[in-house]
Amino acid sequence: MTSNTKITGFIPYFIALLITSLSATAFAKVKVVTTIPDLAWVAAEVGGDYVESKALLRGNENPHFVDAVPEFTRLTADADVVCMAGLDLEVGYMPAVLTRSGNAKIQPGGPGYCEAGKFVQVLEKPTAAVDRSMGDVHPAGNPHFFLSPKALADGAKEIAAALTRVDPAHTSDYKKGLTNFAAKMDALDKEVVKLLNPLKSAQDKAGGKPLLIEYHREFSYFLNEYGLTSFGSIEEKPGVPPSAGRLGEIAAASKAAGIRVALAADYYPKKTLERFSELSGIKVVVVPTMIQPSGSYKTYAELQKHIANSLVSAATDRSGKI
Amino acid sequence: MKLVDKSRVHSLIAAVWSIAALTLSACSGADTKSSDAATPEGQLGSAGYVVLDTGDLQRTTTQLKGTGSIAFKDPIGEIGASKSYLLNASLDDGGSIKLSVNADETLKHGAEITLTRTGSLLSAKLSFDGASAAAKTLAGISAASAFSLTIDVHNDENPTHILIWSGSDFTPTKALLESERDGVTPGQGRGSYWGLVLNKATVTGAVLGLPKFTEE
Amino acid sequence: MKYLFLYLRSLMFVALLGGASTTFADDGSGLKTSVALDLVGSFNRTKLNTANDRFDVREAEFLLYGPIDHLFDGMLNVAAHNEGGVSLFEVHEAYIGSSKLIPRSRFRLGQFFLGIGRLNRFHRHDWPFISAPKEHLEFFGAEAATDTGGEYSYLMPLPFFLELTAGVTNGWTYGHVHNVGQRPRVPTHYGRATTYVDLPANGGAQTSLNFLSRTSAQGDAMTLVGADLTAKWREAGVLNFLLQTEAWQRTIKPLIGSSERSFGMYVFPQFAVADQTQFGLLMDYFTVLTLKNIVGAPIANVENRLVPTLTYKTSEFVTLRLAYDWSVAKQANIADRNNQVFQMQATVNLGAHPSHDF
Repeated sequence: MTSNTKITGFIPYFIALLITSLSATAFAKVKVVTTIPDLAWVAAEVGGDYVESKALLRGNENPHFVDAVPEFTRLTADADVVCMAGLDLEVGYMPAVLTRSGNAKIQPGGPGYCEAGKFVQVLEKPTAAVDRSMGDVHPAGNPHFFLSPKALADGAKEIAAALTRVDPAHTSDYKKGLTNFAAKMDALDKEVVKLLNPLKSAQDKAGGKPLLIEYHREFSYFLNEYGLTSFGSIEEKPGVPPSAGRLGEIAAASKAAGIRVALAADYYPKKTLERFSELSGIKVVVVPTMIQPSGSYKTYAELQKHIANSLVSAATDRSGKI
Repeated sequence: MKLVDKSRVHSLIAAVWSIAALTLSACSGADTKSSDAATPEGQLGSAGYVVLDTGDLQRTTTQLKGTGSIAFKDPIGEIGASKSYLLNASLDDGGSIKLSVNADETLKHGAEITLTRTGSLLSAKLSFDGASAAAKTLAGISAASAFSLTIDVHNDENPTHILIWSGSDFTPTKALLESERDGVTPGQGRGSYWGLVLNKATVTGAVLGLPKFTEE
Repeated sequence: MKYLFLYLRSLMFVALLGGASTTFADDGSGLKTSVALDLVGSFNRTKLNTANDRFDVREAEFLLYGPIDHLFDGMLNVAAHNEGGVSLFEVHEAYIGSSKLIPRSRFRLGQFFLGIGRLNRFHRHDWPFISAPKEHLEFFGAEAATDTGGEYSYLMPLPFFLELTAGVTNGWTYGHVHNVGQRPRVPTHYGRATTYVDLPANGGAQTSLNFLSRTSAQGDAMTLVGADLTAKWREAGVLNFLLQTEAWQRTIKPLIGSSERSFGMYVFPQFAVADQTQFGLLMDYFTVLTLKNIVGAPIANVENRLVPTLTYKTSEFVTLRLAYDWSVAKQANIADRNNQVFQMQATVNLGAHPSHDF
């Protein structure tokens, strides 16, 4: 009688332990590792409570020149999903990182492998053959889609698809998260349109002629989203720092064309940008191109609005006109 | 009674040991003398050497003449060292000089380059631990007079890469003997020392230097 | 005849590679091709050794790699070196590997550069300086120690990076060998433990401990132990500062004769003087610790090198370098040997995007 009581007394504990462990398994979060912080944020938005996401980059790096740092290997070794922008943006480091991780799930072709650029309507996709004599051309098209809320919403589709592949039990949750995310990006888009209205109107008044130039064509998606056109790039060829001759030439051409502002990512050489400004008299706006979780622009909305406000502010003269 | 017995035994033992020691000393007296005698040494130019085999070697600071062998005191460097050897010598007809490099203290287990005179021809033979490649006549060298050769021995390669030149153009194509081209004897020197074995020969210079030819 | 055969073999390699890269480039197999050229000019100022006073193609390398199937990847690396005035191709690496079979693991089987040390794991045209430091030359060769066998790496499940690597290879040859070698008494076997730590101001450092051993057919046992450290600070794509160093000790215990112990190390700090220009100084030290003269007296010896090196990258695919190599070899009772060589280098990458290894 006593031994039976002892055994039966433990049963509730066993049941509780079983329920707890099942719960833990059931609610184990999907580990998502992304390259850029913006994609980590998207994964968190789409995945909600079922996902823990982390970015390899801090957001202040030049995404073209990142080393395959061993810490990246360690982080991806445990990931259920690894998400990149794709379109060859990470071609310099992610193949090595993925190979060294020893994680079969996240290898190309695996369920956890994700290139967010897959469902994006790619801009500037070369129509003719390209080679390196043209500079560092992205043969799959411009990969900086994450600067456009709508393109980012398109990119989120592949993130949701990857989450569904590795965690089919929460398919409906991810679908709902994706829908909500798209709506959020739509709303943000409208806000930023309003902020950029003065610049857009000025451009329209100028017969659609561009009022801005970029250092490198990173902002194509941002500009396309908000109906702004670009005069081109200060770089003569993508990825090739401009020579003194090129700087002089493009500064003169920009000035003659009535360009009001130059837009550059915060990882380009300041001296080159200052020299362009000196030669052309055009204000240079330097902005981050990615969320910086430890920096000043921690959210996507903050980043988008900052870029918009910076452009408008730089293009506005002392009399308040653009 | 016991104490007295012990002391007698001790004395006996001491006596026996003393006799034994004296006997052994007497017997090995000759050996001890020969091992105590200093190994002959000398200097050729600025390089000191020890004489391994006196033979009939006549030794001065500017030449070695006759038959015998010497090992230079200072090592080449590490076992895998690659060096160059400038050898100035002459040979009697039928005579030879063996340059032994990357060898042990007794000039064994090294790379051996044996230069032999037959009439006016000078030939070179490469050997490692008793195994030899076929001898090759060094074209353009008259063995009837004194000659000067630069010999590279790259012991960081396996088999050891050996090149022999007579001029100042140290490219492989100008080598009178180039072991990779002319037939290699598998082998690599396993020591850090070098020396000369003379057989009816005169050596007026043997200088160690950096390799003349460096491979990438 | 020998050189004719080797030349014809080289032509065959080139034809096969050319054919392969054209045929398979766009067929969905994922095969990638790349070419690396390493052009080096060397001019000996002290005229101690003028045999290499010329500008030459030190190496031309073809690389083919890609997935074989859903489990395995493959790599073929064929390189041409100048041998006796003729450029002859040889296989540098040919292996299959996988990082999909065993969790947190990767392995490779075939011929490869042994995964040990720092320089030995990188192709010479990817080094941050032109020529091998003395310890690398002595202990590994002019480029790297390569062999055929298997290597396995495991990433420890820890909250920091720690990777363990172990390898076993045939060991019939080691170093610069021109024949098939001989079966060793103990094959080449090696291990490496690597860790990494992030450093402030966008920096990071990787450190490793390494071990390698082999006993030759003649019974000579060689053991290498060493450590390496690489630290980098990169900001916005510019390598602001690099510190790379390795220190190694080698012990050779021959079956006959005394043991030899040698020690060598190099330190290479490099900093950016402009966005595309870096200046570094290679400091090199090598000594044979057990060097004795023939009567057993220790012989002090040291080789030192100082090589200031200026690097300019027109892009990530072209690197131009100028260097001035001062070396002094000192050994007791022997006149110091000073050598000064002016060097220049151009390295070029064509084809598939090169990996940005740390």
